[in-house]
Amino acid sequence: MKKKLISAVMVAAMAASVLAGCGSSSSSSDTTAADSAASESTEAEEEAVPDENGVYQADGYTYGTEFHSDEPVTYTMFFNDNDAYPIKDSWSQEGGIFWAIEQATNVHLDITVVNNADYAQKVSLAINSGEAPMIIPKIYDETSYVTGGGVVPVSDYVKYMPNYTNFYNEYDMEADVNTLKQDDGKYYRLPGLKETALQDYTLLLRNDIFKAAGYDVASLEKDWTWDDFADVLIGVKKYMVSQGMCSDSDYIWSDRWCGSDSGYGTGGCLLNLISRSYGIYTSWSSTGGTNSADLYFDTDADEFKLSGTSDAYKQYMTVVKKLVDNKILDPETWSQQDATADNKFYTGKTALILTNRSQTTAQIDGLTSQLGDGNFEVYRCVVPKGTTNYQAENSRLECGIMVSAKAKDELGDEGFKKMMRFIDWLWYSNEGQTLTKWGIEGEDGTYTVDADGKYSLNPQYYCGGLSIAQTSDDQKDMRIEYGYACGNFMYGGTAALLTSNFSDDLQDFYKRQEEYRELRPLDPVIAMTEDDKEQMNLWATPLYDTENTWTLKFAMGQADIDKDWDTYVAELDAQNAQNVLDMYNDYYQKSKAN
Amino acid sequence: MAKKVKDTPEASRMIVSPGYRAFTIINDIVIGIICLAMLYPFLYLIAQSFSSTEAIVAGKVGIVPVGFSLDTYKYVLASGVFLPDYANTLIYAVIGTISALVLSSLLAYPLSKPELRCNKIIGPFIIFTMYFAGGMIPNYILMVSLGLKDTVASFILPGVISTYYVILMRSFFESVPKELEEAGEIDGLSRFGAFIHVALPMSKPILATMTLFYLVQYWNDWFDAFLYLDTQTKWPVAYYLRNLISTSSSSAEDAGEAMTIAANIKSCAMVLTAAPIICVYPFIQKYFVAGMMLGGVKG
Repeated sequence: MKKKLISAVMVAAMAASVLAGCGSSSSSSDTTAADSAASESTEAEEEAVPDENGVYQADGYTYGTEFHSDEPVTYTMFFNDNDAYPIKDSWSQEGGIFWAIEQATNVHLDITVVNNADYAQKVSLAINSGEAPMIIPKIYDETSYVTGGGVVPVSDYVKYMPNYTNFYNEYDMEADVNTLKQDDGKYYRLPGLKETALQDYTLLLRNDIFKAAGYDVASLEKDWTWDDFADVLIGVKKYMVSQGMCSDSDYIWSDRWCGSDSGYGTGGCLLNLISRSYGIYTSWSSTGGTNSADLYFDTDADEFKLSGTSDAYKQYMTVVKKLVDNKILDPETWSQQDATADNKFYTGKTALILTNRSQTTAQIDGLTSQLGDGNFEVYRCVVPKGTTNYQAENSRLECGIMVSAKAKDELGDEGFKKMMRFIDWLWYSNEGQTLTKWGIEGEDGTYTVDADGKYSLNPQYYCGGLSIAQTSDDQKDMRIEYGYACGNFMYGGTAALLTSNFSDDLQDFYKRQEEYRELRPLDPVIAMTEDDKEQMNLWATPLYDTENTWTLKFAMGQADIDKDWDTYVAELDAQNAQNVLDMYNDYYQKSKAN
Repeated sequence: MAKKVKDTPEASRMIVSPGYRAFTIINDIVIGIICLAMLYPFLYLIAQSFSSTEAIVAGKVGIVPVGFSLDTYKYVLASGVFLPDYANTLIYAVIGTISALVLSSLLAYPLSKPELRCNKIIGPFIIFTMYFAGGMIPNYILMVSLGLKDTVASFILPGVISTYYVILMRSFFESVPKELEEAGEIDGLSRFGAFIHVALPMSKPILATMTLFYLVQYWNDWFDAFLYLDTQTKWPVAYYLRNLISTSSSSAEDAGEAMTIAANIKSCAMVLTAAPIICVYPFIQKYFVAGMMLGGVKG
């Protein structure tokens, strides 16, 4: 009796869930149909003309280079909160970022604060349950939300966004933005647009040691390859051993962003940098993107190839092996916490470490606290070359904004257009970007601009996020105090704005970087159907895992790139490597034919 | 009259065989080592929380603080977030534990009565939830539809009845002699009166255990806060701590943004958060063990 009852309940539950599934899917397809109908009907609208200042008039508000609503409006928004500068009440009070936005636009942002570590999860939860706020910023990967109908295809609305469109046309962003297109030909995230791809991650060297060992990095970096670089490091180590700074068995390079905190078991930032200079992708470059199988595009052969079995991979691993065999690169790099790597560098046990723009200040502070001011000299060097002369970063896109489909229902067509124009102003106009990056102009505000167009913070502020160091104790961190220069708003813009906060050192680095290295052309875009995407994931995930496992084995010296190569390739082949390639290249051929 | 055997040390030494003595000594050593291994991380944390950042970075701090200072504690306590969150946790833990105890015992008691025939239907339903849960998104939608999102109730209600604890309690209630309750009823108690005046007073061990279980559960819970509480001022301290110590960021591109929080601040927050539970635990730990056994015998 009991069993019968239970099975009856189970059957009923199953039937109910099946029916519920049908119901929701049909309703979501209804809304998609309605959406596209709505966007078609608005397409016929006449084009508006701006005044001489680039300001457009609309019913009840202005947009373009300024956005101001006659009536106060409220938009809901997610906010990605960072522990390094957690949001405070003062951000909404006079002088704070949300206050400033409200002053400028008459728009009140009703934000839901989510911690950085849980952000992606919370966004997924909110969108899937239909409870997402209207504006969802700081999104790196939108692909999982495309079919659910929870977010709008923003590409349908960019025609209402003059700042976005102008930037897009002026800096020829089409090829970049096309990488976001889904198989319906639309994209679902408004990406951050940058005029140029700035190589953020690079190596910070203890130049005092390098100099003492007889290496002039400034002249070497122009043409050095990873192999040369390894030789330099061997020489530096020899010097350090002779000076008693370390012993023969010590490593002089132990890195961050590669281990348990942010390496994701793939070798993280460092292997990404090295592999990219060999023209292939491993570790970081493939974790966030659409191409999870590490395929790179071979221009000569006009087809996609697998990074893991390429000749370039072999060469790249040979260099890593050289670093490991000569006891230069610490195998703990792939497993340790970032702080451990920092500590080894700060105490002078290691002679180099990875850095990026926001990390450098902390690293110099760390060195100062351990070694004392003036007892060290650091140098931000240009990353060595592999078989190509490409810098690692070639995307001019940044994280971006998704817009919840609920916003359209709540605001109506006109109200929705207005919100998109608000987004356009805040994230894409030079005025909006300057506001969120630098704050309020003037002596009473946070920054001033001199006659040469050079930006500087007022003396009472410094800003870790803009790499502007504290010079006296009574200064406040502008980002912590008011929320300007925070990652939710600040990432895109013209090269002038992007580099406006850079110190002379940093400006100099980018000059060298631009002169010595080149930008890698973008790979062709493949937009798969939902089914194929799923199939691709099924193949690519184990393939990618296998490759990562082996990559780390090679990098730790547990496997030998020459002796174990055939076993390794056979293992990759057994993981459907050929199927992945075929599917990708089929798509590529089809897209070429169109 | 026979001479009384004195309980001298010599006498007891004679009873214990050398093998057993060796065993005890080795046992003590092994347990001592295990204790030290368990204790070390805590001592390390405490030492870090009292040390300067420079000393920690230089790797000088072991289990003794280097560069002793109370600045970290002052900083954390004055941060304006920690103490309010701590107060939230206290409130949630107290309200949560009391409601959990009341509701769980009200559910477990009737389940322990074989004469109530509906138990055969209700029982499996309760057990069912142990194996199959609705999942995160349906729960979230439920909370939203009930209008509970961002309320204290949304933090307290999901954990208020734990199936496993209810089963433990039911087993314990089953062991309360039926005759005593019947005697109470003969003396004029209602069924409910028998529960309150007879069954509950006899179930103090399991109630103490459950108090602890629920208390620890609410004290450490950050996930429900993450799911349902949007207003920062409502967050419990466990969520504050979770945000502080989790350095993992949502994606590779994002990793550069995640900045390092000084180790002494993390340690200090951890010490302060864990302190009440650690302090209370040794004194009531016997209830934990006893309670599990009591509930488990008939289960």
